[in-house]
Amino acid sequence: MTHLDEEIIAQHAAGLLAGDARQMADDHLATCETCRDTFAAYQRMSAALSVPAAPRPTIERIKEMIRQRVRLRQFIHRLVSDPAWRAEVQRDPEVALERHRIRPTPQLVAALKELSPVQEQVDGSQLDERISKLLPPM
Amino acid sequence: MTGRESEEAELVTRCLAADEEAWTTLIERYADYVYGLAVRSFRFPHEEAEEVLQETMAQVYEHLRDYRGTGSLRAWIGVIAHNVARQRLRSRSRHPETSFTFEVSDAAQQQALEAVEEAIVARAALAQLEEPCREILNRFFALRQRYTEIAREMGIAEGTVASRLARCLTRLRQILHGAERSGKK
Repeated sequence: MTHLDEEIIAQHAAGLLAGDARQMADDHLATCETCRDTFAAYQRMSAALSVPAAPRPTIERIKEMIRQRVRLRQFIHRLVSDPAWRAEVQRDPEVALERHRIRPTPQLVAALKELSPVQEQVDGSQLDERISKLLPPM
Repeated sequence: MTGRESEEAELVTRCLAADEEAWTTLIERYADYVYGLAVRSFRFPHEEAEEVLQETMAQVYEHLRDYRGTGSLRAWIGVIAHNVARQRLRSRSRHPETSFTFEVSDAAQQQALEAVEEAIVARAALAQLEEPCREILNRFFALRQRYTEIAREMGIAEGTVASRLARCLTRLRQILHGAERSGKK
């Protein structure tokens, strides 16, 4: 049995055939299992290619938000483990945040100013949770 | 442990160690999957699908430590995306003035999920095609451009668009077949 040309099947699956050409292809598909299988594979592929991809600007925005969170976590870790750094952060929170490439939002700066300079033990997880809430929403 | 599993495990370890590049890789790798789920499986309009994607990635960041590696990372992220999407639908039903009819059967959702899975595979194969093929398939299927637009913007005759699309689909199918065969080995 002669089979349909694969390009014809691909065109049909993508909805590119019309009129007599389409009718001829349909007539053949009705009688040929091999071509029907190929046609089904192309239909699935066409459907798959039609699923939209996430918009680039959205992906870039999410990446930047996650980067900010990663940096803030590192910043907090240092804050908890390094008293000298903590004192420095209190003196000038904005500069400290910028050194870690974190956007110094007013809420974040205010929260850092509130830290006690004599506090020897800082609960890292509590601080992390508290400060993370001050990040701008995603 | 398979190659994919050990590669995923390493990516997770790097993310947990606050490696910015690893987070970039993770987001790039799974963004289309989550977005596709939101659009196809839950039928969210594009703006809301973007919000589902953002919220899902925020939760992945917060909870990655809980990932045990017993299933694939994609499946784990998929569960989070489903929860985020369902939560959004529930909150809509509490605000009926902003809700719209949403009734999709489990079978339809499963079908949509399979379409998204296939889309990820097809997109990976698409990346292996030469640029003119990638471009024409993307314009026709993803951007839904018409022949005239494609011909004008790609500088080709309108009469050759269909045959070129078909040739590129055939090439794509060969790549997918090759991938299937090597996957079965």
